Amino acid sequence: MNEAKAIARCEEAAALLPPRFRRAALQMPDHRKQYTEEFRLRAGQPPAALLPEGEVTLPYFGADSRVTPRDLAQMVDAVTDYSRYACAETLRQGFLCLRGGFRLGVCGTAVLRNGAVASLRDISSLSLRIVTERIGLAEPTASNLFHAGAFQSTLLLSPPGGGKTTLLRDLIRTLSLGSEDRAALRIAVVDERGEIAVCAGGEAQMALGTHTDVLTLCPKAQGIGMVLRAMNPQVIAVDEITAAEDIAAMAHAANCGAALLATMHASGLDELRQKPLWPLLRDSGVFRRAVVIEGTGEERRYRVEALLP
Amino acid sequence: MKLLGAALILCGAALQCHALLGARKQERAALRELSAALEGLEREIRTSLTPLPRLLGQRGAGKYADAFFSDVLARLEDGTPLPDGWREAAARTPLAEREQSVLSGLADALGGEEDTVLRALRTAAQALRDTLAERERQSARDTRLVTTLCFSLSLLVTILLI
Repeated sequence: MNEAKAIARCEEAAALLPPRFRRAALQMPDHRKQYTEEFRLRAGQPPAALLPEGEVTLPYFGADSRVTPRDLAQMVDAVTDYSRYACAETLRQGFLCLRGGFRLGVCGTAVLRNGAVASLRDISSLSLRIVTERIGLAEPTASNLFHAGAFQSTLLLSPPGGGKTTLLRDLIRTLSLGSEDRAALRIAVVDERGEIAVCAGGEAQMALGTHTDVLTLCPKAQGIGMVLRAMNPQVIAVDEITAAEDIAAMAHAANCGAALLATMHASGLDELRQKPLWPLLRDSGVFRRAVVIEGTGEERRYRVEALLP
Repeated sequence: MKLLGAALILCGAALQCHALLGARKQERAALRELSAALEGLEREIRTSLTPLPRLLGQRGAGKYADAFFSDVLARLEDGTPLPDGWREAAARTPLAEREQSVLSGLADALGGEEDTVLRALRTAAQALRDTLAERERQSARDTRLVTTLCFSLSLLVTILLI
């Protein structure tokens, strides 16, 4: 993301903060705005910006620089349009998807009903994540994921925070748009945690291409079956594989002719083969390619490997 | 001249009756519309969890309800927090103080959990409906009483003048 865009994104996020902290966030120097990943508000603490080197307290010149529970409640009210009930499903999972492609992580006191979290009250901290999209990131890699003109089911691998979702997002966009050399593909995204498309009010806030359908906040195993039956996808894209039923659903989809695109936490193929789910993945025969993400920041490299013969 | 004076007194009395009865009719219409509108909000939220600003932007609930919701929405769009805007708009409705207070009382409940919002809306709608029923019972009696009083008094003054 170029410098000016990154700064503009940070300023858009700052506009969502409680009024009394907004100015402090907007007055950060540009070199900090460019790399701000999150704004963090914790009750009783001064607000902070998360940068690659760590958290930095926002300068504040008012009487009391500490965040109050009232600040947090008012921010949640404002971003939900005073309609928390309308966001109850994601709020009980601890997050909100906001217009502009931002995600708000919410911590507070869990309200339990029949042993399950029904909602959160007495909000104690918020984390406003500036979700980034890198348009064009996946283009050099995309052509290596085809064989005889057909997209090969691919697994994206990196450790946590390594850029898998950012790559996944742009790969979806790239495949959906097609190019001079390859046709556009119909992509169905099962966005279980709302991190890929970041839908707000039914509209994807991230660029995912013109042939992409998004099913939001649906568990992957169920969602894969739903989009397979309803949307006739050529590729089904999901974020992190974490459960055996996800792999079973993917195998079924592959048998029905859909290719799969997914991510997994692993620094490389060696670590992947140590994972408890590896035998299931290997035996399913779904994924043919892996893209291993190495390095950090602007130095990231994307190495394509054959996963199965 | 005396006849003219008497006629003016009679007209004045008639206008006074009309104004008093008109204000009560307006209040009953507002109670009817607002109680139905709150029930509509409760239904929409219960069935489809529609966010409040979208619900406030809908029209067709009647002159008084539409005006109230438009007022709340305009204040929200101006940056006034919803509870404050709701209370300010409630104070401008043609309701008696007690019923304005019922409407205002919803302000803090609206941003809460689904159950809290629904319960508050049902309670407020029922309170307004109860007041409407009471006003309607009084209305027939009041119409006769007010009309009789106004005309009796004006007739008495007319007789005295003539």
